[in-house]
Amino acid sequence: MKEYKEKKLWIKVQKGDEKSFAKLYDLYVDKIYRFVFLKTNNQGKAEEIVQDVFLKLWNIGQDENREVKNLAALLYQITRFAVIDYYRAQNIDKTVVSIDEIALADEPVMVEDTEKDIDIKYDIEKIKQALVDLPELYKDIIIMKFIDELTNREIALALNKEEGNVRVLASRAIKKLREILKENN
Amino acid sequence: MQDLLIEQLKNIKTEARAEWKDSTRDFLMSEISTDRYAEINLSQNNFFENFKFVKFAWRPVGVFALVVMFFMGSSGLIVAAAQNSTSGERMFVVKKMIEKSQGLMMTNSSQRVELASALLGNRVDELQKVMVEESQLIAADSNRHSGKVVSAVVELGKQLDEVDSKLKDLKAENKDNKKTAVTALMLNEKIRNYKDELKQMKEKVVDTQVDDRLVVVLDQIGEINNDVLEVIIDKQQKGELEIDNKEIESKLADHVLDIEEKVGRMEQLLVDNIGVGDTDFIERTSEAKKKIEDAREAIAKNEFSLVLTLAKGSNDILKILYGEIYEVIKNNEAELKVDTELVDTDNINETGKVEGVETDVVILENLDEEIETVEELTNIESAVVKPIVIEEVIEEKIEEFGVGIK
Repeated sequence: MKEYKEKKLWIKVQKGDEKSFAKLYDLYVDKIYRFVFLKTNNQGKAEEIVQDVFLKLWNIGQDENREVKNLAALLYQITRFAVIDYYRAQNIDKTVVSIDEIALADEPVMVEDTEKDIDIKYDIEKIKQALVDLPELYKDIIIMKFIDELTNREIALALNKEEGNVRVLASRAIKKLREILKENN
Repeated sequence: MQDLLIEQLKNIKTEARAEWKDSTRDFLMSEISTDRYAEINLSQNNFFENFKFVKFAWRPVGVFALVVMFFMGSSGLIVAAAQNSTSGERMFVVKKMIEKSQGLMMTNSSQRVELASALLGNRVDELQKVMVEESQLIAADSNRHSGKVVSAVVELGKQLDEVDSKLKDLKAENKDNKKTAVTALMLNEKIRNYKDELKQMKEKVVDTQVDDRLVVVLDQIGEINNDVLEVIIDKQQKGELEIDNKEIESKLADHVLDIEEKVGRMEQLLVDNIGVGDTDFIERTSEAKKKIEDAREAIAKNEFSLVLTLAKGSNDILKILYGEIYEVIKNNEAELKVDTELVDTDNINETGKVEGVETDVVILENLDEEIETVEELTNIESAVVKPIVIEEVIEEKIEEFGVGIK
């Protein structure tokens, strides 16, 4: 239902409907801001990047030939690239997930990995700090899946991966986050 | 067992600052409006010449408020308060003054149309605002009836008259330029959006006075849209506006659909109030319906001017019909009122139903007999009027309508 409503809005945006674009903005601005802020940890930069993201979204909307499968996925895709551009501009060297780790994502996750230490409560600020230390792909998945609560399908489209991989990567991301939290503690 | 870490992640709800979100929205809207003008084939010289006025027109209060402050010596706080005021509030007068002062800065009819339609947006926003306020007040006090919503609708109607007047001036000038074409296009888009918003608002209203006024406002919008579409089609045919036939078809289909809905409502009104036996009303409604069907065929054949002629013709028939049918309804209600006033009010119980009056239809045994006393009248159900209608009239007298936002 949500996807259908967004699709209707998107069709109107493609016809140049500014009010529909404003509605999309209202629907997504908090999520996109949160995504960028948690990655950059910088309020000012997050605000700048979010503005650029929505302008880019509008420009994409004016290309009637551009097919959009899922609006949320598109938005997050644009946002990820915008953050990457920001890193490049700042000459920030961000740790990415290695190819080996991505390959390992195809292997099934052992159940016991996810059941360890699930009862430990962490401080929210420490979690936010640990997020900053995560590799980018894991950070993206955690924010999209657990904080912004996107579906696996939406995340898969945004990251250009298979849905199955997204589940596995999400488990690994949580595991990595937990390791960082333990180290910091 | 739920993973606590995942639960905690869900609680990380960092949000952007509210004022930043608002200012960013404004910024984005102004940027994309600029884009739209650039796309519609304005030359660079025309673009920069018109941009400074157009931009101000689409953001009515901002910069011109500063001008008013300078001349009036008002403080910024007063102007800011005025900006958020609605009809019926004292600061609304200041707001209207600021808006009027903007009109003085407009140097051509296109700009005046743009300003008038931008101010129309203000009126729609104000109506939305008072409706939200009223829904909260109604929740607190169900007997409350406020004139603020009616007042806001009246202001909306006045601004529509202003838009209509400025549009007629623009058409009368008959200038052969792209600016007129662009203005018409933007006005059409604005009108469509406002119309959708008003329809949504109308669905939430139960107060008949507000509902009736909104019907009038929507009719006004439809008529203005007809004129706007005439300009668009004219400019397209002259090659002054590059717009796809498909887009014009879509706009015309939307316009024709509105009138078709009016035909549907008229048919329902006839069934509910006059009865299917009134042939004159039925014939004229059928004529209006036929024109709309022909208009649809004309859209398919790209005979755009014909579509508008047929749409206007249908709408004109419906306008007259609505006027006449409401007269009939009013007369019927007046007759009912005379009948019900003669009912013994002591017998009305809490629910408003008249005790001792049978709710089943009673057929008069001796219709020709003269009714000599009031008692005889109160004991008789007219065979012409259904008793259920009498009950409804009585209930209406007892129950007070609020603005009644659903």
